[in-house]
Amino acid sequence: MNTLKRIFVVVLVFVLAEVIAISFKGNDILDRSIVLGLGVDKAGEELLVTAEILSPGNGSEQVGTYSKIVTARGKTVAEAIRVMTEQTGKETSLGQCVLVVFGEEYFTQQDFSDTISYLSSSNSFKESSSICCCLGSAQDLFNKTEALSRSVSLSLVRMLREQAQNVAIPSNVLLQFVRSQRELSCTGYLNLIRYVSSENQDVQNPDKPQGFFLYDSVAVFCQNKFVCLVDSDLTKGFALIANKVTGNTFICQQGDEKVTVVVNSKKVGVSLNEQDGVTIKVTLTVSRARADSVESGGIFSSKQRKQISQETMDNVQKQAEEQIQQFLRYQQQYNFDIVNLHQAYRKKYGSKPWVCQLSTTDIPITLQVEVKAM
Amino acid sequence: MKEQNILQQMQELYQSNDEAITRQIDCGIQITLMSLETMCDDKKISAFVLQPLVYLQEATSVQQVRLKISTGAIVKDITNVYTAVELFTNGYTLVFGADGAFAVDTRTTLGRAIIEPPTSMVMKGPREGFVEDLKVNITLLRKRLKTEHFKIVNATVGKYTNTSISVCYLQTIADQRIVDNIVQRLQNINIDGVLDSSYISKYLDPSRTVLFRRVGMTEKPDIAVAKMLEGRVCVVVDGSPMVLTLPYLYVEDLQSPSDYYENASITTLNRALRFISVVLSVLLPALYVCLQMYNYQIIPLKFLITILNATEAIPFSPMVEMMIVLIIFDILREANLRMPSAVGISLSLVGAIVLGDAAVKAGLIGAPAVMIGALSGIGLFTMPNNTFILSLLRIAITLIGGIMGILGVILSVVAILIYMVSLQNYQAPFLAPYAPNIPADKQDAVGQRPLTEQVERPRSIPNVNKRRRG
Amino acid sequence: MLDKNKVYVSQIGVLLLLIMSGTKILIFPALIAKQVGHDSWLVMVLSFVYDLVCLTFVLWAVKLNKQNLAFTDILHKTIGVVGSKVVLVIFFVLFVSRLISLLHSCYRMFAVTFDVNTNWVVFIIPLSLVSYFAAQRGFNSIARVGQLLVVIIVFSVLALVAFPLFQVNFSELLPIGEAGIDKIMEQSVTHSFWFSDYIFIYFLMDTIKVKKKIFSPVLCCFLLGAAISVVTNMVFVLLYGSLSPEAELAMIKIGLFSVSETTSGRWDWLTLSVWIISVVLKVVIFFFCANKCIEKLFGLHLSNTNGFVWLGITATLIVPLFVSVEEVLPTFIKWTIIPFALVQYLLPLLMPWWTKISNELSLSKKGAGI
Repeated sequence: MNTLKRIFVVVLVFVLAEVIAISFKGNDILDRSIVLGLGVDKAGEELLVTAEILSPGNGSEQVGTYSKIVTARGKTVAEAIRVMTEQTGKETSLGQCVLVVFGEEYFTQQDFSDTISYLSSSNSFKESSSICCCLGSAQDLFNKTEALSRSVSLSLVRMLREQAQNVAIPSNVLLQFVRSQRELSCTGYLNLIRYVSSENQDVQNPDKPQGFFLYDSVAVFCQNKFVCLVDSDLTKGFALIANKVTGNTFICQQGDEKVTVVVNSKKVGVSLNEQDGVTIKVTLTVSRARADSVESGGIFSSKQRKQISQETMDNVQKQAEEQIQQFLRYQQQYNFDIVNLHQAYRKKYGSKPWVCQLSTTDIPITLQVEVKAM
Repeated sequence: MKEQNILQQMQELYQSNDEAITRQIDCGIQITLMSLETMCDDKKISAFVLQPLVYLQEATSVQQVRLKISTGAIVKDITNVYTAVELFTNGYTLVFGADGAFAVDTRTTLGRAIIEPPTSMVMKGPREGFVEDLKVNITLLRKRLKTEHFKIVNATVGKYTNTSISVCYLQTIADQRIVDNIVQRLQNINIDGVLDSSYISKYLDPSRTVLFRRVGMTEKPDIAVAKMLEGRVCVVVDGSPMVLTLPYLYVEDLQSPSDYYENASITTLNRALRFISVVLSVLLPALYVCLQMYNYQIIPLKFLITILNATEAIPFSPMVEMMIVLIIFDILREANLRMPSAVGISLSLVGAIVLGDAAVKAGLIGAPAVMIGALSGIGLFTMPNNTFILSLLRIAITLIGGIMGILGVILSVVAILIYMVSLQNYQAPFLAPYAPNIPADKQDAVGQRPLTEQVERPRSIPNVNKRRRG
Repeated sequence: MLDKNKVYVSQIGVLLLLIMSGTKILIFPALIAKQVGHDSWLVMVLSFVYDLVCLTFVLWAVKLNKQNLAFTDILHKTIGVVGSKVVLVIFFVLFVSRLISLLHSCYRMFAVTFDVNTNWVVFIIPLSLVSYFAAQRGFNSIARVGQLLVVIIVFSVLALVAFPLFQVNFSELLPIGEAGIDKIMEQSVTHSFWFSDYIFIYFLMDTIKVKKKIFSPVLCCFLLGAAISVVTNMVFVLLYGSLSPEAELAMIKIGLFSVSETTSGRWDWLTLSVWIISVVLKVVIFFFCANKCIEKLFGLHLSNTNGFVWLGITATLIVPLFVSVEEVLPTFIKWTIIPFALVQYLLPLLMPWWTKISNELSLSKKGAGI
């Protein structure tokens, strides 16, 4: 009996282990196409999806290109990705995707709600991924790998996530954009990327293209449809009232000297006033631009700072007010609200239909700009 | 007549044994001496037995002989044949007369010198280590505990080996119930022979332990004394340089002999490092396999690229690859332990450089897997007493993790922790002072407070004297 | 009364802290956000207030239980055999249904987050085996594991929430009570199924080692657990706004924003894995309690957990294989809300009184015996 019991237990354990081993299905990284960035273009009635995927080199060497570009067509992004899986023979994994780029033709001519919905409702796609649009096609943008000598997705993400906020450019992630397209005024923005080619100075590789990306303007969308472009000058005004964005520069005459003043930190408060209008209170903390790298030490830097005269501060205040007003006028002109003025009404009245439908032109705005020297 | 019977029986028992020497001397009465050549010291026989007997010409009784020749340090009475055999085999010289018998201690002091134990080398601190001789070991303890409270209870275990065992404790600190329990267990042992203290440790563990040893072992008298000062009981076994300490807590594995001779903050840092190494050693291979098979998103992109580059040409799945690395490591370790030290070095070289490097170059194993396996292997040695168990655990968790992903790893960790916290030995919870939480005992667990601030004795070890000082 | 099931009051507090946040920061935030939007944290606060009152009464009952009577003994002496069996049946159904909801959210989480794709049966078998093993080793072992891991589990939750906490703007929770106080109260009642984790204490009444301080350690742990759950819920709602009802697994979604740099990998999953241990512990505790219910219902006096009882409980957990939990659970909760409320909210209020009566009865019986 004892031996029988032992045999039974051994068989049971073996069967259980076997069942569990068969039932759990892992997926080796070598069986996946790991997507770093995704571009979406319009191609006639279909969509052209471009993916930058990780491509291992040979053996343990890391040199050379480690990403490659794959394109596929489909009626939706989902279908194109399925086609991509067919092409590569590996499961297309979007779990590490850090960037989504919409091509010019796509974002200006088409409602991209279905793409946004597909990405935001996907379980493995990260809502914290950066999202932007570009001039020209997204496919072309991703093919600039050689010009950049590095992964386009990683370079753009670094620019949008880490650098943008320090050089006066507001930037968005997928979650914020999706929310902006369905909450209150239903307007939001995406950074607009441009590729600028530069002259090749490399004598050894004279044919190699060279260039860089510019992302100093934004495109405005309402319910996933294109509204207008905000050019680089207006974007500066937007940056001044966008939270956590610093780096705006102002050029002022201080005595005989022409000085550049930079915004190091700021505080933006948007609230409803007694007349049911919106008061935007911006407090800029500025210092003279230095020949040091941006953000070197921040407010904790003990490096010597030159005094800024009261005249210069007044000048900065005037310029800042002008830039912000210019942007707000533009915002009213096209009736969008990427500053989220509606939020102030929501905080007081809740998400009532009239709050959501409130036109930006009907919102009286009082602007208060205060400038402090660091 | 009784003595003559015992003598006769002894002669019968040892008649075919060449090393048993029987000699008759006339010192007024007829005396028969019996001794074991291999167990006795010739000089002691000559000095303590023969010379006095030769000079004693007019003895009238054995009792008189005993009183006159008792120059030997220890003289014991022989009451029956069993006592006679035990004393005889232990190196005593038996003296038989017509009206009595006794035994004189003539044991040889064969054995190695007291040296620094190879398993517990220290930079600072005492370098004496226990030897195989019980008497010397007790002396080493007694040297450090010059107090009347240091008590020893002796027992003999082993049907054929008749091994002497001493249970040592400090009467005013140790819990008498635990001492009694240990003595009781020793007396109940029914075994052919005891060749080392590890034989005894199996019997002192109250329940069958599948994983994790639950009896402490030390080769250093200073450690043994320190443990006794905390209320533990030491069991010294003749023929073994390993002294057992009871009750035993898992944190003791994190403690190294030199910890107590260093600065407390350095000790804390070292112990934390050991703890992290052990956790990493057990979990790292499993996590590496899980991440590759299920959760690649966790891996930072640049590292992912490195892994992809390194593993693309590997013909095995990540789990098989890691299992190969771990098993190779265990084979190398086992071979290294069995080899003479000179060959061992070359074996390490062959194993580490030739095998590892060649396997990577041949595309059988990826470089990251070798690195993870090696790191995990080295980490195991920070807890040398548990290397084998930990190695077994990491193979099991890697296997489960490879099949079930991170869910398997989490469940394995929970199951192991549940098993560990449920262990209890002589009223001391195995994972004390962390589970159950005994804040006062954390003065010397993973962290260590300066010796001057360790005022209380550990509460997790039952004791009758709570304060060390003050 | 088995020694291996003995627990200290502090251990009860630690376990409560660990299991409180189980589903409440996993699938509950999305469920409640669907109904009341950004006011979901108010529903949570309100439910925690009910829980706090009931927990205080349960602890009071534990304090009054000088004779160390088991929960079923108290019920026997006060509401009779039939009454006690009815209560035990309700408890069993409650534990099993909560186990199913908990395991289902775990199942979803592992499939979604960790890409562990398997079928329901094979998923619950390993968890059931671990629970069986834990119950075999005694409740004391479960409590000790909680004690051992409480610090790292709480830190792992805090690490997940800390970074998003500074990213969100708490003023966006205004206006407070936008959904309407009546709706918020209604939701807190209709979602009571997800609360009252203290119910496991009933089944340990005879094994709790009562010390001088009984209220403060448990209530402090409860308040800490409640604070963690509420703050996590707030952060989730603020981050996801109108997307909250669609973001099924709150903790996973918050984790996305707990690491600042996108390219550094999902390190948050490692802390998440540590936090999941508390969910596993919750599963183990509910398994243990369901098993106790069966033992007491059928009058079994087992020194060890019976394998067949365990198999039976595991078999009942296979239900989601045949019906969709998402569809059936809301209806089930709707139908069972009254019996569940009886044991979750009414019973605790009666427990001190019943405990006192049964203790006096037991004492007088002993006196008569002498």
